[in-house]
Amino acid sequence: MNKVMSNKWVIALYVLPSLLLLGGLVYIPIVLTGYYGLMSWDGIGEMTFIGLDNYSRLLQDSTFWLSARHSFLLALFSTLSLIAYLAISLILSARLKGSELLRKIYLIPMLLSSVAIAQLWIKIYDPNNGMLNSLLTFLGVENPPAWLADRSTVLIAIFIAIIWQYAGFYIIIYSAALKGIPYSLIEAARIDGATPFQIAYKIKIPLITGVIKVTIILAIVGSLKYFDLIYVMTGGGPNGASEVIASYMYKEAFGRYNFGYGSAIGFALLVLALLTTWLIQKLTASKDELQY
Amino acid sequence: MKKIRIVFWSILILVVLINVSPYLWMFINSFKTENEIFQTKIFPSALNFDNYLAVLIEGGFSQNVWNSFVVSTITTIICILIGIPAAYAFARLDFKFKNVMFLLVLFITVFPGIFIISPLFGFLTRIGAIDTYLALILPYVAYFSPLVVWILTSFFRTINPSIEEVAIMDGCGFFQMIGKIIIPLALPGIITVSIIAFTMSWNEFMFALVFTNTQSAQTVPVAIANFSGIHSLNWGQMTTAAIIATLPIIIISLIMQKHIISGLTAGAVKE
Repeated sequence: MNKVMSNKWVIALYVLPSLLLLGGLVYIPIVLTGYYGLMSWDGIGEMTFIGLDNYSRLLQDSTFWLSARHSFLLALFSTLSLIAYLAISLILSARLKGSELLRKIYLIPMLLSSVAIAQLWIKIYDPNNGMLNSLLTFLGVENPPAWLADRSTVLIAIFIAIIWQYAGFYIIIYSAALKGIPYSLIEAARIDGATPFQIAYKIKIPLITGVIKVTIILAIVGSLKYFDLIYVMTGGGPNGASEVIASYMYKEAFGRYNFGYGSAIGFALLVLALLTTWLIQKLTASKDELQY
Repeated sequence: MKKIRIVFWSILILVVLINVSPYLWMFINSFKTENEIFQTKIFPSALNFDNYLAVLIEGGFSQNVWNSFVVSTITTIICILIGIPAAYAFARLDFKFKNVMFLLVLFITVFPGIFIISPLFGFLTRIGAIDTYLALILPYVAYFSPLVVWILTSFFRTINPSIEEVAIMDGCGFFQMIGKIIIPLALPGIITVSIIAFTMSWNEFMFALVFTNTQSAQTVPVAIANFSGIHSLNWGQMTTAAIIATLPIIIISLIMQKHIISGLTAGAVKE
């Protein structure tokens, strides 16, 4: 068996299709995007080399910085919401009936298409006939906000929809991690007189820090590249109030046919994503991993 | 203990309500007439399938459903076909640069797809694939197969290698061993990744938005997004389209939910 397994041709046969595909359709395009970023190009005509002009324009582009700020706000918001997901998962990890039902229900939003979710929330936020404002009017609120049409409420309205969409994903991950903690540990702590809060804070959370780190990175990188829901719900409007980096890049490249400048925005997005991932890794690097 | 139970159940009920009520509200609305939607009544006076007929037949939405079905099915099959051997190699075989290659694969699972959208658009235009199924299948396979490889690798690692050694010693050929022993043992994993790959292809929006532009190739998410443009005021039909788009996934998820959860957590939790 070892003979077959170390045969170079067999290995190549196994790994090559996958690697060739990724090389051709992902890694070469990554290099090309870097290259386009140095060009002025409308997607069809001749490319002209303009050096770092796209990047100096980027630094002075107030729309870019505004959208970058929104992307970072979303990242911050998503990361903070992890605390709530962790709290819910900890409560659910108490072995009570009903936890399973909740996991089942939580699975639904995360499997739905972002576009359908966007349509759903457009209906919820509709100023006149939406579920939210109907409820607010019923409760006696006069002049409820216009939500997606109002510059001051649009961002928070979208963030809530995104958080609704991803809650299940994180709760399922946390629940699975908590399930992996040996019950004997918790039982021992309980016999020693630890309160449920102490057990959660001193035993459960420290034991799943690795998973928490992964979810923080997923939440931040996911937020920075977020596109679907925002594009469908507002298209970045009203008046740029909900523009994020990805939607701005899409507009530049496929709305105004500035492929060069669009690629430069994309490159900035990639650098930001890699930088924050690296920073998180650095900040959360623990000297000694806890084990059970 | 009693107090905890009360808190637990109130949170549970609240969470269920928050999660389910928007979807239920939309589902109920899809059976209402256009007039009824704007009334305050919660339930329609009679079950009304006009919206479904209008969306599927007059709106041509059934073509989009078909496109999504074909694209997602082919994508899933290719992902599995190239994913199984690659995952097996990463889990069991030793070769140079294995870890580097595995990292290159893993990186794509968190990589922002919008970053490569311009060069891909250029490439697909050059080979004349824009607005065909191929324009979606190629990027989907490239973008979704890494997750398939990742999850399958962790599944293969859970299989005891001695089973394979015994099979080889008993005279089972290498490829026969893969087909008769490895694949059946990893079947739960393969089902999981198939569902995940299918769901991701079914839901993908950004590539589909850019790489297709007529109804002959547009998938369900793009059609729904366009619905707001074309029939901007028809709430009933819009909600119905969204319901039709999500129903297959909800049905799959409820039947297969154990598999999906184990697959989703395999990546993040194990090792």
